Amino acid sequence: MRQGRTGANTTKRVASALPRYALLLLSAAVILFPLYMTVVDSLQTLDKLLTYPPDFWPNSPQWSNYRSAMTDIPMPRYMMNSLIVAAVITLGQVSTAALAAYAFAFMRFPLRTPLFFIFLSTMMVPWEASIIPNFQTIQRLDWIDTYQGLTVPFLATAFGTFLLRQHFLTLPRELKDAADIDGYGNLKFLLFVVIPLSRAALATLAVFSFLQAWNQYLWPLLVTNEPDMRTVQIGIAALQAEEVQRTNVVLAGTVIALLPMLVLVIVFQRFLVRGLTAGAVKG
Amino acid sequence: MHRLVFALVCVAASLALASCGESGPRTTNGRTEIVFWHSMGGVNGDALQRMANGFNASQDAYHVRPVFQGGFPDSLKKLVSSFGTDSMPALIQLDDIQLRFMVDSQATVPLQDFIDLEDATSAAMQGYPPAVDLADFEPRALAYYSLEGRLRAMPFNLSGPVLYYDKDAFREAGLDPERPPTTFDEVRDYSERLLRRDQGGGVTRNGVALNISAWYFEQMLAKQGALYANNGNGREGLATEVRFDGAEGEEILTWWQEMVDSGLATNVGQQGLQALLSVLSGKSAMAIESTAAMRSVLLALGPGAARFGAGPLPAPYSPDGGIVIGGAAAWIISDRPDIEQRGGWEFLKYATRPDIQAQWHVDTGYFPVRVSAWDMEPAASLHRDVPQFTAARAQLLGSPLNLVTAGAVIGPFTQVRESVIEALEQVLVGDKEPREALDDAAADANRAIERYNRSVTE
Amino acid sequence: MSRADASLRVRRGRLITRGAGELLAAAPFLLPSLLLFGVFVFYPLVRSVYLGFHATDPFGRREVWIGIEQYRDVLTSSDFVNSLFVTGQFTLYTVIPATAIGLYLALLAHQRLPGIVVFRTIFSSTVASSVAVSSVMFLLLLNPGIGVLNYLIDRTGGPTVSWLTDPAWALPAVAMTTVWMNLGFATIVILAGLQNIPDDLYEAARADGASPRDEFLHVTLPGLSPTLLFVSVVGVIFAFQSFGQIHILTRGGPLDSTTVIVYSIYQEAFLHYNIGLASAQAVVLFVIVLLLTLAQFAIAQRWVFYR
Repeated sequence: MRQGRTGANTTKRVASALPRYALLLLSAAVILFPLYMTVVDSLQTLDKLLTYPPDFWPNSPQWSNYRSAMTDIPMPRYMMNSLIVAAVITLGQVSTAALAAYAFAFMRFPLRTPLFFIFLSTMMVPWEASIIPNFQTIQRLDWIDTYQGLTVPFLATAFGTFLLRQHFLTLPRELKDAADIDGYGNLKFLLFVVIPLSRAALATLAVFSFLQAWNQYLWPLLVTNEPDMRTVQIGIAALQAEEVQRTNVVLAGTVIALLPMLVLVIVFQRFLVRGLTAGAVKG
Repeated sequence: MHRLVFALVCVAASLALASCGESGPRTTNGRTEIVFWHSMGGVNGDALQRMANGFNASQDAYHVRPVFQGGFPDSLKKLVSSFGTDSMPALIQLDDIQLRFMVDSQATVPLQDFIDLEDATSAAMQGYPPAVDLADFEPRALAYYSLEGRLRAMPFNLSGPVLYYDKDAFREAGLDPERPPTTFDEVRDYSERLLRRDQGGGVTRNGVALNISAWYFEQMLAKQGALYANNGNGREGLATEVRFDGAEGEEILTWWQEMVDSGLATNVGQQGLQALLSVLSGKSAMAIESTAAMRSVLLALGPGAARFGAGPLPAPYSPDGGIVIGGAAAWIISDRPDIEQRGGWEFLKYATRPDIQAQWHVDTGYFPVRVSAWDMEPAASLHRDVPQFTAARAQLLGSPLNLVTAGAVIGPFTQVRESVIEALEQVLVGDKEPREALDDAAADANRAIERYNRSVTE
Repeated sequence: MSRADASLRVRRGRLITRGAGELLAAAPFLLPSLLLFGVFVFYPLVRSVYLGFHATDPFGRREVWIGIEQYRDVLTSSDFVNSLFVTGQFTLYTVIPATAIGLYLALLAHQRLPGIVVFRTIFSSTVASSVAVSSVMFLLLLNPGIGVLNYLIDRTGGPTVSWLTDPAWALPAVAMTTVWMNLGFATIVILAGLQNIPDDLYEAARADGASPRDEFLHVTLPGLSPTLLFVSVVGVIFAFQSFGQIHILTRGGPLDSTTVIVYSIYQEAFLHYNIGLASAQAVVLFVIVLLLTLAQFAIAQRWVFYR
């Protein structure tokens, strides 16, 4: 009896959920459609790819396109460049921001407020507006085609400093007093007390920095000449324009470029959400 | 002040990696390395690599390393961005229209310097023939890349525009498949007969696919014997104004507009190769495209290629008119050490050997730089097997040598082309009539030229 | 009198000494950032203004003072005004749809259903897609001849469109690519915003007999306002920085219909080699973004409901 009622309930719940699932599925299909078509096209022969009407299913999938993408076009190299650049920028931004945020949150010194405003004011300068002198700087330093040219201009972040400072301010003041009594220096206190207590905020910043660095387009376009120094973004875009006769292979490369980030997003989904949310609520 | 900032960055930014200033020739495995920036993608890039391999195997002093830099604008952008740095290449391939810009940049050594040096040497050692037999070089290419009587860069890959057409469609429409249209009027007449509609009246096949290209405009102007810029196309003095806004230019725009408006032609936008793809897929019966596309397209088609013919670029006839040789040239960069420049020169001599050029012609579809290469193997048999090439050659050889066909020399040519493209787009969209669009384009172009000339010479 | 003076001076002296000491202690923490900002933010700003007053040759050898001529050219040239207009349009075309669709997807994914995590993942997945990847993907979808989009339109009987070559459609097409790319980010943030609205607010609303519509209007939306503001602010910033999709899809064309400011700067500086003129444009861009930022602060204080 009880069993029956629950069963009926479940059926009813499922029935009422059906339209909602339909909507979810439809939305998911629309979102995934561009990616799906790219995968299909990346498995076609060039002939097939260029015929109309388009195929929605690869009838004879050409997996060799993926092998070509890894060997004929330098995808692995591009991916590695992007990884290095994004990792260095992330590490740099987290470090410089944590240091500065610590000073603004825990230290007393003259000119603190004006200095903080100087930091904040940099957020109002769009990077694109200062790209010409920055490019000239890198050129005169002879940093074209170098990792330092790709990363150094981005190693400091006002946004990150602000974000971390806001978090540091929520930490109990007593910690600092206790640390002072224990004779902890500032750096020691930052490293061994503040940072362990701020993992979420640091992760927030790291996620932001990494995504932004990975996605960069204009700057690496300007400061890389050697194909060996191209990031994956520039590599993909360049191949798309250059390898018209191998569009299918380039598409395979595009899928390969997307995969690691996709895996990252899926694996660290909860983490990523927390990161981006912190930006939304506190930033 | 600058210096201080840079020094600070050098110190502060990276203690490990930064090397603020180094120079000297590049070397690899005990040879001098010659970095060659080029823009030959796909099949043509492979051919270039083979050419470099051949040179590297032929001697042991130099090693040429071709580095693909994307399209010509990308490559030029990178060159300009590396002025004064160690990342400059020893050799760079740039498209024809950058002639004035490259000369003004003073970043290159005129090729004539090397030729003169070799001539002096061979004259000193009596009995030796000149190392470079300029008489055997394609005269139109020498004319194009010479300024003030001196050859500035080595013609590297030469091309011209041709009309590709579908012979089957011609037969079906009762047209002679061996006689493609040569004038604007003929293209219109042929297109009317080639046009096919379905029952609903929708066009299933149009006459000709046209992609918006300032290059075709330049070529159609030259075929009518008209100058593109003043002061003899910028060859008798610095060009200060464009001349493309005359009656000949208006005729091109008017024809283009009428063809597209009437549905006889389809506008496929600015992307290269789209027009040709339109013919290959049967949507159009004819298309204008560069000979540079010939090799890769015919290669992709295999035996099916016989269906497609090639004819001269259609335009109103003028006895003084002809095509301007297109393509690109290789420049030797003056900032690189002498030994790299010499290596670059040696490579260019090798690359323009008749036998190498015959192979290059077959591999890429570009015209050979050397006249004698046409009749050498494997070029000779190519012309037997692929008659499309012969039509392209006939058009080239039929062009007279004069200031019109030598081509325009303008500093900001890229911007001038942009204004022409804008005019074409405006006319095709219906925003402006040909005359108005042309006048506006000329005004834009003249402004760009004035700004450029002022910045370079003031 | 003089003793008081002296003690004041001593105290002030001590204060200064202490201040200097504190500043010295803080310096190692601040200098890395300050140095980088100095070299890569403030110096370039000054230098841009400076370059805007100078005519430059394409080869970086000459800088000739010409006064405000280039600033005047920029502000009066129809091309630059057009690029401002295009940027504004592009902002509208991207921020509003991305926020609205993001909100819709987030609401869908906020339901308590078995397997909802899968959908959340899918909806947020485009955050993994970079500008180059997205653009290359859409380039094929948007191909007028063989692209799927036109095929679908054709099948449903609509008129097909030359997406990237028709001046009327190019900007919407680029915007579509951008919206798709930004959807993941918008969805993630809004979803998190939804989860931050306390359940007791809904329970209270339901106890008062609120309909789902009332709940949405009076609980969800106000609760989401900081989140929605954040998403649109970031969207506006993204829009003003957009470059990659335009560089890959349209190169600013056709007829400059997709020449946003950043592309215009790029074109002037790195394709036309007019560094001076491009710098003048960059300065104008800076001023505009500054004004926008200030406006956003003002708006934020007015209507955002902070708990």
